[in-house]
Amino acid sequence: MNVIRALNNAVSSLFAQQRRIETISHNIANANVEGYARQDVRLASGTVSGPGGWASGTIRTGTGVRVLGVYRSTNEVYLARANTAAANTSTAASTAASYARIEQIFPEPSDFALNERLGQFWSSWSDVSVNPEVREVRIALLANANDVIDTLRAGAQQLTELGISTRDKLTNVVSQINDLTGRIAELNKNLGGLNRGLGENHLADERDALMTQLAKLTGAVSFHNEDGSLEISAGGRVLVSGSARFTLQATANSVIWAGDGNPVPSIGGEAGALLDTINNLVPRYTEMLDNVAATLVSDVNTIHSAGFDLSGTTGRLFFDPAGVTAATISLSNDPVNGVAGSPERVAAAAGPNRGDGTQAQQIAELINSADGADAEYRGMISVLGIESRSASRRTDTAAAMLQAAQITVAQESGVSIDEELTLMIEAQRAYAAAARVITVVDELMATLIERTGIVGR
Amino acid sequence: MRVTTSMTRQTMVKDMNQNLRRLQETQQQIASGKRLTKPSDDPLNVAEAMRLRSQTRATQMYQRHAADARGRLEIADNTLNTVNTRLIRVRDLVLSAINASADPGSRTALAAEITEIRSELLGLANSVLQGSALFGGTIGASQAYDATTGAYLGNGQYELRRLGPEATVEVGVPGPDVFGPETDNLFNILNDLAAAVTTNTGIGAATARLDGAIEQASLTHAAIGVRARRVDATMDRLEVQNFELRNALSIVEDTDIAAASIDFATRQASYEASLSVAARSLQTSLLDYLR
Repeated sequence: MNVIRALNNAVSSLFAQQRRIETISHNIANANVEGYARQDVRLASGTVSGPGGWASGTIRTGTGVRVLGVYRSTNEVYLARANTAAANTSTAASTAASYARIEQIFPEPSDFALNERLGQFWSSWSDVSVNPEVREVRIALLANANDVIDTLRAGAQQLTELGISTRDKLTNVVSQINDLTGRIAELNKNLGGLNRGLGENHLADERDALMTQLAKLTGAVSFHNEDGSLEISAGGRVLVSGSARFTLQATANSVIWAGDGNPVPSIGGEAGALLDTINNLVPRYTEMLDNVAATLVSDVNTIHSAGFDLSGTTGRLFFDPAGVTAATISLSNDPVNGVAGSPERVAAAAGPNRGDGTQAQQIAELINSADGADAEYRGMISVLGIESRSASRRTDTAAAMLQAAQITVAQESGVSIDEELTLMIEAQRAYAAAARVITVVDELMATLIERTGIVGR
Repeated sequence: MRVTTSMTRQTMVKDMNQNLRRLQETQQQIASGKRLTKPSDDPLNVAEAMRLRSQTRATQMYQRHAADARGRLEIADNTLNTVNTRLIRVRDLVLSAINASADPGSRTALAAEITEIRSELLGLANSVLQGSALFGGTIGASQAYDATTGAYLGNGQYELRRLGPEATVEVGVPGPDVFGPETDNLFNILNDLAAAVTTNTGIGAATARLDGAIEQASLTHAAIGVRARRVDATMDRLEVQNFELRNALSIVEDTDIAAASIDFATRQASYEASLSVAARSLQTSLLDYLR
């Protein structure tokens, strides 16, 4: 028996338990830190000693405990899944936010939005038909027509603004992406090539957190290289590899590689949703609103130009036939035939009789038209409602999946206070036991030192 | 399965938020009284609500037309009542003239009264409603007949009011319908009658023409009565239709307060339960039992 070896064994245990208590206290301290992965001290039994003393012959004993390293409890597959879920959630949430904004632009059903304005417009045509000669009624008609025009123009304007603000946001997102890839490449340089378990865990935590943010913005995917560096690709091309990274750039309607100017295909995350708003949502709803305006202009003008005004003249223009989009619709300013500012030119009669309101009545009847502006607008609102609702449902589903994925990650990497306390008690007991071993060894040595050499005394 | 602190927190916060959001949705529906505030609340019903709003507006449009038609027909009816009374008076005067044929003085007086009634009828024929002549067709001028010659200035078109997508009613009464065709209108007849009474020649022939004119006026009078009754019936129908549309709109658009209140109570209960469970379970840990 080698007394000194026993002492060393006990000391190795003291050190190992100290490491554990340090790590446990570190875990408890970081229990509430977002993205912190629980750390774990891995121990292994000490190497076998060389041949022992006289009595042991060829039998070897262990040499205490070894600390292998401090490792993060993470699971790459779980993390990747959580990142994908986070990317999907952020796509869905951003799309839903765009739809919510469009719904604010068209707040139906209400007493103030386009449907009601159109109703008032048709109603005032009916008023003109009853009293075709009363000037005030004609003035009221033109005022209501201007309300419809203003509402359409405001809708078009706000859709355009949505496009512009989304573009600004995309530029902002792309510069965040470049910032993130830069920082991840930097961390790769520090982490790559180093053995794991040597205490650079906080850098790895940071890199994982940055990767999650990057996934939310781009839908990029990642894997760990042999050397411990994180390799990231977006749209099938490498975004970060080791300490090299490739920057992106936002254009008016796409995201391109700054290096060669090729677009990033199928970019996901928030950037993907923003691109969809710019290239799909805004143009599509602008077109639908334009169709409403075009139908209104052509329906009213067709009947109106066939009618007769107060002076018995026919061929008067109500809307400007050139303004067939929601942004350009206006009353006709034509100096000869336009009604703008000239209510007496409103053609209410079917023939050159001042008291006739047949034509105005025919225009008022457009409120019932199955393919008129009202019906077209109702169709547009239905589409908006259905799409917006499915966008917000997708957000709910994605959020639920994200939560499930995050729980899986938290199960693996999160800190459980109860567990840490249990481990701490265990470490404390082990430390006490090792200390006791030292006492015993001390007594053994005392026996040798104090009791030997005094025979016969 | 490991249960970690952050996992418990995440789940609890999310569930509490979800409960609170549901509670707020119901609360908002009750407070605003509206079930639909944006297209995505219920896309199909939002379109339905918009359609019902348009239909309500169209119905109100027809109601205004019907009220206007009713007013015009009533005025025409009143005017024709007076016209009839006056024509009967003329008939009486003619009878007196035939009996009093011997006395030129009284015949002159009778002829003067006929002329008087003629100008009164001309005044009635020029009745004006909201700036346009009641019996002028769709001419839109303030005069239907020349005040002295009695010549018709209007046209023969009927002013129409639409009472429904397919239904119209004639509200205007062109002068010839009441006062006879231009070739031989009432004012000419009365002129001739006054002359005949004065000279005591051809009273019989003129009276025959007068009887024709009286018949024409009362035919038109009856027709106006029929139209007025049709407008009345339409007004009643539109009233019911308007009520039904509003009712339908309310069902689609408004909050069902009873159902919403029950929802609110249920959601409040589950929110409170989640709060209470969170408060209790987050408090406990192994620390409570370590000395």
